[in-house]
Amino acid sequence: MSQRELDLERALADLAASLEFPPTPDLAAAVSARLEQAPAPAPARRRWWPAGLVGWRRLAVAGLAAVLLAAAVLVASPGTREAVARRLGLRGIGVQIGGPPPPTATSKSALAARAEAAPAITSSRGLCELIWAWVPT
Amino acid sequence: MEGRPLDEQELVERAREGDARAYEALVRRYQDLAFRTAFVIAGGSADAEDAAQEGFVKAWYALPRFRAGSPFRPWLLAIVANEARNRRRSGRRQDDLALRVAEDRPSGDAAPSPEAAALATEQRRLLLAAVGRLGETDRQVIACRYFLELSEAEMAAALGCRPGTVKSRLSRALERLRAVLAEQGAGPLAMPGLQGGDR
Repeated sequence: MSQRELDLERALADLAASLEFPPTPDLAAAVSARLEQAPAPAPARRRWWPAGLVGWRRLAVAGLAAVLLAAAVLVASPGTREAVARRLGLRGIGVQIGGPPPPTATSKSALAARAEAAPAITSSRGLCELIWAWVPT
Repeated sequence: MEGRPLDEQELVERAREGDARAYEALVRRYQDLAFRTAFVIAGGSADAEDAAQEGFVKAWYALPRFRAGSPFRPWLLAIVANEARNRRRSGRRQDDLALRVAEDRPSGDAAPSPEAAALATEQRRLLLAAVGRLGETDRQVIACRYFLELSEAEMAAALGCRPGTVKSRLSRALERLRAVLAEQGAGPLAMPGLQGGDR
């Protein structure tokens, strides 16, 4: 701030000290008289969110709480989980434990036949040879 | 109420719960500030009284929406200033700042001579007249800052602008005040810095 600005500010402060405002009327009495005749406002509601949490922050906290609640319901209830998975097309393989497995088909697929025909992997070259053996010719 | 005087936050909390006596104490505490702010904006004593009174009544009904823990003064000033602006818009416009400069009454050994005191009073009158010649926005921002000694947040609330724009608005107003002083030939003013040109 330049000296010129400081001087002007000082002059304004000096002026303020000698200004005469009109006397303030007794507003407290007038306001109280008006409030006595009017209904009292509803007292402030207690809020569930911490003071100072406003606007988008409040929305973000509410959104996060909703997501967490939904996740908790999903984890807790197998039925809901199943329904959501079906809805989203995320159903996987269901494993059921029951009696003996049904007899397998007798005709071998071409792949199974090639797997049997491949040489046994006995050495540490294993993985490469195994991959090579499975590569279609 | 207890013997210990309640601080502002306690009074606000009680008022928010519907305690009219606590609110009356708040009105008493801030009536000077509210009236003077309304006076600076509305430009007249009767309008200022109406605006301040209406502002306090509206603030009472708006208290449940007041955010606990936030400063009360800017919130109150915004309501009162809004009322004052409404009155200024709807009523007759008073374009000068209806304030007076008190006479210097020298007393004691260190007091300036009567001539020096008279000169100082005259200088203040010239400065006040220059402020009065400014546009409404400039006049109000200078009055809020220097005559009412409001903080930036309070100025923003009273003037209805964003806190970030208060400084630039004040700076432009001071620049224009300097130009007015130069224009009205403030040469005789002994106060340094009041003449338009750079030194």
